[in-house]
Amino acid sequence: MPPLLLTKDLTKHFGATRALDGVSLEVHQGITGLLGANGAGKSTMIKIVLGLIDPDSGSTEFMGVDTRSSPLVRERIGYMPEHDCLPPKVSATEFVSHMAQVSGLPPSEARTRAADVLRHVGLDEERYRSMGTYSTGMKQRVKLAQALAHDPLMILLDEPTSGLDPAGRQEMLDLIRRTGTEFGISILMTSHLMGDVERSSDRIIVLDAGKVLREGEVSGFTQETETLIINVVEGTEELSGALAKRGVTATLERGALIVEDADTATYDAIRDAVVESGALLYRLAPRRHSLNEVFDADDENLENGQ
Amino acid sequence: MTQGNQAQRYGEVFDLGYQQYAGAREGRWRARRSLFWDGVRTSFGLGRGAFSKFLSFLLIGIISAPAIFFVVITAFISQFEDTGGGLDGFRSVDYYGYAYFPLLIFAAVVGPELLTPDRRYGVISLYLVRPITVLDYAVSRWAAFLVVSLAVVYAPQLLLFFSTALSQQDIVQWTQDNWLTLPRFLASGFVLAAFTTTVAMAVSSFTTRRPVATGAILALVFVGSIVVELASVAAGEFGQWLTLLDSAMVLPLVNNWIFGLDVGRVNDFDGPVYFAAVMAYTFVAGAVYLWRYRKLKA
Repeated sequence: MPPLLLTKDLTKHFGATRALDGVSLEVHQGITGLLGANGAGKSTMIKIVLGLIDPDSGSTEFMGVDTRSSPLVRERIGYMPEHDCLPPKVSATEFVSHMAQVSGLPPSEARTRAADVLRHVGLDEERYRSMGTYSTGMKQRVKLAQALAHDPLMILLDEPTSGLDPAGRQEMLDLIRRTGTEFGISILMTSHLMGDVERSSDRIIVLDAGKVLREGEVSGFTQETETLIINVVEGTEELSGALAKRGVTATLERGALIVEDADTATYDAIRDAVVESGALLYRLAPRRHSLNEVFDADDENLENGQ
Repeated sequence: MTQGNQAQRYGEVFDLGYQQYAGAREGRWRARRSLFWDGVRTSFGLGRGAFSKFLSFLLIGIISAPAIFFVVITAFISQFEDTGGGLDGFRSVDYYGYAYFPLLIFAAVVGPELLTPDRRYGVISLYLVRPITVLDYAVSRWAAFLVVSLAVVYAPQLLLFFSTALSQQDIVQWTQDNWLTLPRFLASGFVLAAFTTTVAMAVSSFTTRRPVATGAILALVFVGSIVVELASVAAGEFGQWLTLLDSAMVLPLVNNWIFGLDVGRVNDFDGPVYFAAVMAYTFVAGAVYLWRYRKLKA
């Protein structure tokens, strides 16, 4: 299947700083997380795709059409910026309806769509209030609603959980997941938070210093390892000793015992050691690669010239 | 009514989930039109707070007050006596002389409201990712405020013209004698509104704060006028060319020229020169405005 969004050799400098260095990538249907630290070039790439800034070289295509040559392409793309973009004196319903019209929808259809999408993002009676009175979470929902108002094929979300507390973050990630799965709208979402991308995306593209470091399915990034993590409420030292007696080396890492190169026999040894030591076990699980490790591993590969 | 019938009347609400949109998509044309009407609504404070509406309508009231006052007086007096050939009151040719300053204040106070909040609150980045170009945005906003300004300057003139016509014993004869007033005040009003609109938009494109834009617009015209006068005295013979930059002086002279009156002898120039000066001023302001928005996009 051809990609929805395609970039070819995108390069962009801001003065002496190279923001993008020959970025070529394909974004297919589904939810794609664009992951990278601050300054990695994520927002720059999104702004180039949307035509907000021009690249020094390279091109972007949405459904096979150059996004810079035809503004009409943007009829089918939605954008939720990271920064504030809501006028405080206007109500959400009026704002989203207006944005739908600026995307080309007739006024009556735009009003209906505004009511629908605001309901989908969880704003009910509040939508008639001026947006200056909204909490950060409500503002993020309006920002998502305006991106959905014209029923785009794809939305580009720039740090959608920015400024949200843990509960708000989880709600926003659930909403993004629903938008991608139930609404059938493809999503390209940037984030510097690995957990956010891991929880909401199907695919991940890692951007670092303006280059694509790695891309692939989320599961490929966070596959299980042969390392075990053991968490106990009390009796860590006793358990460590009991494990040592059975020839299993465990190291203490942030309150958890870590056992490398575990096999079936290791599980049996841990079971017996827990019984012997009387430690109160509450978690025994294989460790997954964290995305932090992905960065570290790729940094090492780059340094080693691999 | 039985219980069964009552139960049948209750409806059930179904959440149909997210509905895809299969209706019309009208593209750039709809986008531009929407920006235009949003600009018109903003100019009148519609959809905004009470203070925005109050400010807009107060200034419009000040601009229209003499015409309304004249019409009310005419209607009142005509109840008691025959006014014969109509009342002598505010003449169309004089109206813009009065309306220039309140219209400039209207442009300085209301005009920036069409542009500065979009940049201050980041809304412009949402506009520019939709199927329009930055020029579509800038021109739509400018056109919206131009149309509002034209409505504001034409309304009292039309009121004056038709109320004066209706107060005449021989309406047809008066209209035949005075019909030229109509295209004249339309033309002069256009020059005035285009000037105030374009200058207000150009200055507003340099700031994200409305009070700063308001102050800068008024300073450009009023302080600019004083500076030009002083510079023209100091510049000797070349000074008369500098006076063409004084919009407060030149605009009433253009109005006189359009109405076929003596432009006055402030310097050696004739009406067309003043007209060309105002047009040049307006075009330069327009070019600066468009350049600013092209630059903002980049």
